[in-house]
Amino acid sequence: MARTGKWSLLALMLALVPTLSGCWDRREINDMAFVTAAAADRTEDGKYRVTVEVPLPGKISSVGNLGGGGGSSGTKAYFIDSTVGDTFRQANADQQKAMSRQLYFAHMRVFVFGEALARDNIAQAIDVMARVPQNRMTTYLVVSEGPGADVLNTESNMEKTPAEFLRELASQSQRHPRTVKRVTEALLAEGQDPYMPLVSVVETIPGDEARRQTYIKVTGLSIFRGPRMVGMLKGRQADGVLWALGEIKRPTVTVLAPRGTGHVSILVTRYRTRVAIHRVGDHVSCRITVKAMGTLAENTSPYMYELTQNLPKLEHEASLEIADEIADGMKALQDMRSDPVGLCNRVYRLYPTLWHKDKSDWRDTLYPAIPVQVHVELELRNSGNATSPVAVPEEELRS
Amino acid sequence: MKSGVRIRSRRRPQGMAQGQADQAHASDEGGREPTSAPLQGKRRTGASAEGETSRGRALGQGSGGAQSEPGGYASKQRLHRGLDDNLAALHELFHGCSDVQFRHLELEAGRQACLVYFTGMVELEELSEEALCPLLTAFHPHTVGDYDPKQLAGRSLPVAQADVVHTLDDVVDAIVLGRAVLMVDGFDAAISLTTTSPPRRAISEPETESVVRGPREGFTEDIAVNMSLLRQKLRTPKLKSIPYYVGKYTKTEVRLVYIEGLADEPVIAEAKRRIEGIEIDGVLESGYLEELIEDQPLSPFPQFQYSERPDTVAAQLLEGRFAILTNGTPFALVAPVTWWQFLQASEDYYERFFLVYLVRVLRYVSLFIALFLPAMYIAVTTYHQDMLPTNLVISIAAARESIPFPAIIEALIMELTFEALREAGIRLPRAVGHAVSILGALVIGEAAVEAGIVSAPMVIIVALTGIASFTVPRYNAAIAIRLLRFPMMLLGAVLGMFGLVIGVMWVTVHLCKLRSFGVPYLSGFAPYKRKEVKDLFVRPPWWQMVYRPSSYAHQNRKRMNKQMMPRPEGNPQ
Repeated sequence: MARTGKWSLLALMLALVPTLSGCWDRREINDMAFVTAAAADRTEDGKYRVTVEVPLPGKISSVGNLGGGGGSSGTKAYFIDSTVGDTFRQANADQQKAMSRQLYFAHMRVFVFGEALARDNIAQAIDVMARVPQNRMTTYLVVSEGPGADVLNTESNMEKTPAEFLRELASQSQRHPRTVKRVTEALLAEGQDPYMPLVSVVETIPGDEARRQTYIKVTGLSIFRGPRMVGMLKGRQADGVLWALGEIKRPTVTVLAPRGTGHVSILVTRYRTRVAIHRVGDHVSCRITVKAMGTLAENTSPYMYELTQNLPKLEHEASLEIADEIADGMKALQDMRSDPVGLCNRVYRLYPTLWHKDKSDWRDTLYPAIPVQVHVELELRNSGNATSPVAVPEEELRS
Repeated sequence: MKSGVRIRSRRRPQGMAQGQADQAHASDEGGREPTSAPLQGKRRTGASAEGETSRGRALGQGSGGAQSEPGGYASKQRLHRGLDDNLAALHELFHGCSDVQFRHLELEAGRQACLVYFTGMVELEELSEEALCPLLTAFHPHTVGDYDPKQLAGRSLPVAQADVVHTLDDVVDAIVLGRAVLMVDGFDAAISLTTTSPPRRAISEPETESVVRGPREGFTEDIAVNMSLLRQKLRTPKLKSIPYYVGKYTKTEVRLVYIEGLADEPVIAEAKRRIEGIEIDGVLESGYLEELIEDQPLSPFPQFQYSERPDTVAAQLLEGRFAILTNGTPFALVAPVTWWQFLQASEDYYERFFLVYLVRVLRYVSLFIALFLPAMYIAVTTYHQDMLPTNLVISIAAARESIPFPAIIEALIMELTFEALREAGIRLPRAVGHAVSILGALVIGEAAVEAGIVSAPMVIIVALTGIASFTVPRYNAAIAIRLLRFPMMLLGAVLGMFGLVIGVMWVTVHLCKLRSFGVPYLSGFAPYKRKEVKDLFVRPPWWQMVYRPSSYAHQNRKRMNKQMMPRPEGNPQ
């Protein structure tokens, strides 16, 4: 009897242990402010301005409408707040004072560096990303042209919140979107520099001046030298760099028809980029090889490209165009003394003695001197649903 | 004893007369006894001799014995030669039983006789044709006076079953079991006549275990019918059935059924010992027995499988298990069991195996959902919001926007409502049941959400959990899961995922420790047996199940020839 009594008492005491802990760090899901995007800017007095975007669940989802959402006002489905502090956490702590719900960063999908901050230094900002467990190493990083806060403030018509819009943009901008992890790796690697997609606030002008709209667009790449941004690449040069990185997504190449009039667009469906470093004596050279496969996407010339004598010319022309883009991009990078492609990282790995000789000022001596040779092989596999130009009468077709 | 089977020595139930202290002492000893105690039912000396005499004796086994119960009806007393003395004794015992019949007969030469039976428990037509007619017809060639009881039974009574009994005790037993007893003046013995039992429910489709494909017959309340149903499945003399009569007042017939040569001898011996040890006033359902003879009475997990399908029971017997049939209930108990068995439906073995692959996987997923989904929902939404996709987290937050309760309270409200609805649905007459389900659908599905008491995601979670718990084919296993869901929810609410992990560990350790008649509950998986795992999570085709599961069957393990996979001649492979 005594024995069972003792055991049951012990069992009872054990059963009470969980209740002693209280509810630990329990917090209901509707008592939290999920930060889905944040932006950091450098103020003129050297502080951080941290802008967070919090979606308002009551507004964003029709589910909550039944009970009438709590705490949301206005028509926007999100809430943006901006505070200034010496550090991010300081600014966040300040922000919390104006929030009825607890800020929660685990769902932060995009982080925007304002241009000024990016030009200053991003390494300090990345510290908080890695240190606080709520922050994820998979958060996408982008750099804004101008203040980052403006990007978050831009209305997006396509998605419910700018954060979601920005996240989709970042993830579609290249094959492997730049995350905190990738950027940090590039920062720490020998002979390599980080880069990030560049987003800009642009205006559409639909004729009527009053209905002018702003929206966000990925306009190119922001190029860093170490932790400092040194320039932006746009258009052809940005595409060329992405080609060299093997990061460009479903690129379309448009060239003049090899003979005669009109343009031909080729959608590249599959490609592979190889960057090889060769050493000759004390010098290294680089050869970028791209093997691509494409589909004829549009043909405004009267030529029939399914014919064997026309096809190689077109392929050659398009290959040259891609090679040109890449060479352009690489040239721009070398001029900026920034190496996001990692040419010097390859030198470091393949020829360490050479690297260690030039390590101290590799950006100025080793890197710009590497001759870059580009070789592109494009193969047209498919001419789409049509063979000959579709709307051209047969007698006008040229072979 | 073959390796692998270990049967925990069990405390024998003590005599009622024994003191509390004695009992505690014996139970302590039973608890400390190592698991390798002898199986042969060897009586331990710890249980006193008094317990020996006062234990309920198994009736119907062997010849006369006595019920020494203080409240019993008679002592072990031989019948008198004089009919009147015997009748007087019977009249006294059956005093107040209005349905007992004393049919007085006068045989040749004025010799008195009396047929005693309960009306309604014997087949009167059969009795009059086969017992009264031969005895009373005038042109009987012999005179009864020349016979002894055995000869009378052998020559003059064309009843299929006629036994000679010698004690008053046996006479009473025979009468209460529904036999007619013929007592003749001058005989110091009586003849008990067994007629066909009174009308019983027809064999019908088992309602608790319906199948799409498979036999439609189910056990009835009559043990003789049930036994015959089993015999029709297993036409072999190796199918043994050992009768016991359990219950001081109910004298419920219980039969231990097994296939000799397939079932493990030590397990059968242990089963016998446990049934023999039962001493109780009445057994009205096999559930009484289950609770009295299971290995771990304090476990929420069932240690017997019950079934009202003869084919299910036959299949289990063929795998080397034993069954316990109980008179008065269609539910037969089967043991030893493993957990996996509760996730197997009889139909799994009738349908082609491809489908069963899918269905089994589905059941395991459902099992997981039924046990953990509400707990996981609570844990994730109150502690680990980072585990959900962003859009989902915002949807849930939106749905919870106006809910006044924390997630755990919300979940408890819904789960309890659901359990209450289920309970109400079972007990109510079918016509009213519909009203309940409509009410439930309205209350759970619509009103609670619209009133802002419960969030829509929670309704989905509860509905999913409910559906998932219905996919567990065995009701008693489903009950265990239903029950464990609540502690899981509390753990999830208090400690989050960490609590859930603790819960999972607790359940796993418990299951690993659990044994049913010495067979580990997770046999096949823990301890791991490579050849048996195949029938746990998926069901292999029949031609691959060459051997019986080694957890139960230690002897005669081969079920069929190898190479039974059909390869018709001429078919290209």
